[in-house]
Amino acid sequence: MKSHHIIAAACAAVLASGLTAPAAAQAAVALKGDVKVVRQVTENGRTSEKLEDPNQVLPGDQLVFTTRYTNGGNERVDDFVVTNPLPAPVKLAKVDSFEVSVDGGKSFGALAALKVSGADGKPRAAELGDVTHVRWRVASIAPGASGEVKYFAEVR
Amino acid sequence: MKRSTQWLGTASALALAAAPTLAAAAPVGTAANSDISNSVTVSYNVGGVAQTPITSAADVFKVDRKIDLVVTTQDTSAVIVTPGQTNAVTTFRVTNNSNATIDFLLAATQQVGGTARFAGNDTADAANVRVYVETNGMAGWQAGDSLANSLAAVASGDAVTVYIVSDVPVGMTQGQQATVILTATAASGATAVGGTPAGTAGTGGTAISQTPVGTANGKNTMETVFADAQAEAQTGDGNKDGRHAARSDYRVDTAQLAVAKYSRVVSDPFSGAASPRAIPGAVVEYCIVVQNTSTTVNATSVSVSDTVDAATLTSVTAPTIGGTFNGTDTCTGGSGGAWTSTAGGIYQYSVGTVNANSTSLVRFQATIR
Repeated sequence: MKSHHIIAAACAAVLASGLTAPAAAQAAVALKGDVKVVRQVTENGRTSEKLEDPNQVLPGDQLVFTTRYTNGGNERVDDFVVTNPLPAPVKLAKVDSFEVSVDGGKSFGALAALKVSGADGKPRAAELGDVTHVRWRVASIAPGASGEVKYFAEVR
Repeated sequence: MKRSTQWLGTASALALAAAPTLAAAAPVGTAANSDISNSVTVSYNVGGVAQTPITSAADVFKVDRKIDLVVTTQDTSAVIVTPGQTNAVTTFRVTNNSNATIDFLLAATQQVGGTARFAGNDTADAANVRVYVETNGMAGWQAGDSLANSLAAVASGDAVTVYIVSDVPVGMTQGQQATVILTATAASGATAVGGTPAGTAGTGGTAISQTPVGTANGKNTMETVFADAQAEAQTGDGNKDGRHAARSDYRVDTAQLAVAKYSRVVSDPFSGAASPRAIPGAVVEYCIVVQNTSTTVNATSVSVSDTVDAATLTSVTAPTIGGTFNGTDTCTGGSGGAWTSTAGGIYQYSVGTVNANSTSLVRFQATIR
């Protein structure tokens, strides 16, 4: 049990320095973030969505933020919780299979069930633009398994 | 002198409250060059033991600069001018819808023929066309506003009032129109005119270029993208070209007076009013009709001069001014007005104001010698 602790700590240190899974050590969980701009492309009269690198990003553009996770260890990971604070210049574009927070990450729930203090001081239903954090829960990740979580947002 | 200065001060302070020089508004979108940085934190258990939460490396990229502007005219119909008028004013507004503070080059040009902004066609050119920026805080153009060729440092979302001020050539005739175009071009490097509010009048500056299509886009560099709409075709503006334009019209409309004189015999010494003939001793009623055919401009201080042939007419009565004309020869109604008579049978009647699209009348009687 203790050895796991050590492995996890080593892994966290490596990740914090900006690298992905180290080659030799037995890594537990590796994360890799990515962001793309969602472009509407019309070809031959049909409109489709195309993902591009965020080289040209303007207010109003749609973005998709993706985080890939991999269990590089040899034990199952349980109660995997990914918390993602939204960058200030973006607002959530749509709800999905994740919980959201409208109070800076203190509490989470479904957007429809949350309330915020309105301009007049009275509580009002929370809107997409009020979301400060999104959170996913993954029950377990088998050794060697990977997956991804993502959310769509719009540049304010 | 002191008193009048105080008056001016009071008047401009009042106007300032009523007509802000600059319409400040919330910035449009996330400011250019802002970073969007995303990272996640993960917590998990292994074998039932909570592990140290880990945080992913931040993914960072920059918001690019979107150049968007709108020029609109604040006039709702052609500005009415008279030939020879100086400093005729058309009013525009330039709004910065970019996500950055930028400068604008301002240019006033004349349309060459074609459909005017409001109605009819462009048929003439104005003279001495200049661009002023509203800077003195008093509604409308005054000589105290700033003659300028650019706007300096207009914040995202803000709007500035700009005037095209022109002189009207004496040769322009009734109904002729001169259409002027204000074009604003996104720029940088303009210098604010000293003593003007921030974000208004400037000098110099050069147009901003869009980051060329072929240039490799950088995730961590701020590119410039034109997002402005195309203005009316007559302005020559293009779609997404970093500029926008609007038009307004000057139309010559002066009071157009026509005058006609009618007469009828109202009584004679034998038949009275029953079937009067124009015999010596008969009373003749004259009706002078003054018509202003302009559709918009009133004629003021109108006076009518009428010469009565003293050899054939005598006993000219005091006139009535106004009333109604029956279209053939008879005036009715009206009320007394100022008049003078001078030697030679010249009578001068003060009609006053003849409104656009209306008539006024002078009625008097005389007796045949």
